[in-house]
Amino acid sequence: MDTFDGILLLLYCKGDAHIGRVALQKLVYVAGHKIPTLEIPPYKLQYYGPFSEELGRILERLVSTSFVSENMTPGGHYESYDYSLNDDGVDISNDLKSKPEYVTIKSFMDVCQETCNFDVAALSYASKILYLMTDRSYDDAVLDAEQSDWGLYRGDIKMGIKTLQRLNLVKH
Amino acid sequence: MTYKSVHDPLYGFIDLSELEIRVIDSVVFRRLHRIKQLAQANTVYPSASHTRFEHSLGVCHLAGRMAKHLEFDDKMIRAVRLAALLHDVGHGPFSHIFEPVLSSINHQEISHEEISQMMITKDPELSSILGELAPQVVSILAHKPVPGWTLQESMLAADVISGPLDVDRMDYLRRDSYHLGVDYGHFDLDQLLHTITTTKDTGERWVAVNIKGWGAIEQYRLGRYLMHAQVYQHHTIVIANRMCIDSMLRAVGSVISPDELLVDSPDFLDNYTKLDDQSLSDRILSSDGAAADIMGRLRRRDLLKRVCEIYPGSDIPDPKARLKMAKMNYATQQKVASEIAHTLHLDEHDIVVHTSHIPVHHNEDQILVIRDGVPRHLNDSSPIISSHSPIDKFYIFGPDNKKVRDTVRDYMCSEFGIMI
Repeated sequence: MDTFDGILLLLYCKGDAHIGRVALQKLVYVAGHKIPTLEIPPYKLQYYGPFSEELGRILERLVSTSFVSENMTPGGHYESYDYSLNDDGVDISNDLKSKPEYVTIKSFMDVCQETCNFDVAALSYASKILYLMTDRSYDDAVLDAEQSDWGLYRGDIKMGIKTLQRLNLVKH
Repeated sequence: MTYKSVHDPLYGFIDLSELEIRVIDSVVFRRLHRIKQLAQANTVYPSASHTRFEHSLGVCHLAGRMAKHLEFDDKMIRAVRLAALLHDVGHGPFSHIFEPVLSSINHQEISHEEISQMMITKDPELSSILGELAPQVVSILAHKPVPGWTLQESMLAADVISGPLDVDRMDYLRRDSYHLGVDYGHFDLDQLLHTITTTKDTGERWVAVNIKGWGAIEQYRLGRYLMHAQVYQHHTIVIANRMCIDSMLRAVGSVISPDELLVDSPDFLDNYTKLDDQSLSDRILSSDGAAADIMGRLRRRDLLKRVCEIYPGSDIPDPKARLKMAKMNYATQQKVASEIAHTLHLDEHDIVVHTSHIPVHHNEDQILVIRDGVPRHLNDSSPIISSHSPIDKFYIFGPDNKKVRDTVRDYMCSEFGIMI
């Protein structure tokens, strides 16, 4: 499944939950590890964890071609953005439900909602640990996360691992 | 320690260390003098003949300034400057537009960044000059942990050269503007560098900008948008670059032996570093066939014309057809071009399909502005641009005559349900 369809189905399966720009980046990254047939673009590490410029471009293209709406929410200190499907996006997603990945994506999103309610911090910690695991074992990744003074404190790591455990992406 | 200073039109004197001078004098680095920064942009802007060489010196200079401002220690500054100096050393002829050729030969996506890293570790002269610094430089360029550094230091160093607010963009926007004679890419560099900081108070360390640099940041992002809209995605430059790619791809198998450029081949770097803009175009022009024809047309500025230009987001009513166009990549564009050319009994290279994407804010999403001690994404509080969608344009280029225009119109109607 290509990234365009993957994003549409992730947003389709989120229900009424709010998913912001950063959270969506992390969801696609983690989903790519859970669903091998989901194509994900290259990621680099940035402030809130792995970030993909290419994914940003695809999301922009889905917005500019009117499948996804970008909604701004005013805030006390700053505004935030979240994403949802518009009518054309829903129509396309209804067609995509016949794809084999749909069931896995639905279950993936259900687990994420139940575990962390798409909380950006939890998804960010989970994706950072997954990123660290790309070139080291799980144990080494957790150890490095603890020892690196990299902004991942013990509680954060626990929160990230909880999400990954529920997704069966790391050992219990 | 400064060993030599060289003059730069943007920054005045650039101070260089003895080690940096040795890198600059290496064969693979000097080759950048023969690779133009903007490929075929001189079809529209006649003075666009600056090269990757001076851009690399500029990025090294800015990396040093930013690293010093961020209080890196001397060892980190040395490694970051070297990484900046070498970040583009892997570019092939005509810069980015050689990447599709190399990828086609190797049947996998290959970027100039990968070739840069390969050169740093495998080119005998360069790796011997860099010695034990080579792994550090490669790690910085690859966004990987640098041996002997903390993860924070590694990621911050990588961010300086390739991140949302990196010195690569800062240099090329201003340098391209200067050489093209346009004002779009200029911004207040001194103010920006003066207000650069990191997110150190929050645990992680990433490049950010103090609230006092807000104006300079807005100028920078607006400059980037305008440079894309007016220069990098100018339709004439787009078609000239596409014709150049087409010529090089057609030269594979005749002028360019695929075996020469297989990245796993032991002779790859030797063969690759012999190629530059002039040597490759001369080789192609001295051959027979389609590759030489196209390169000859480029020389004469006999370019294909726009026969279709649409905005997919607003011009295609059917969602499936719109999504099909949104997903188009190089391979599917080639397929469309081939179908239209076949209908017209034209050669495939007489029709070019291209989607141009002018970024408005995608990468600026991640620019961090520190306000009240808290890092925030620039877009979350910028009144400029942030609520606008990017601009996608779909083009079909071909010979400018009625038959071609009619055929393209019929094709767009049958495949995408639109009248043009």
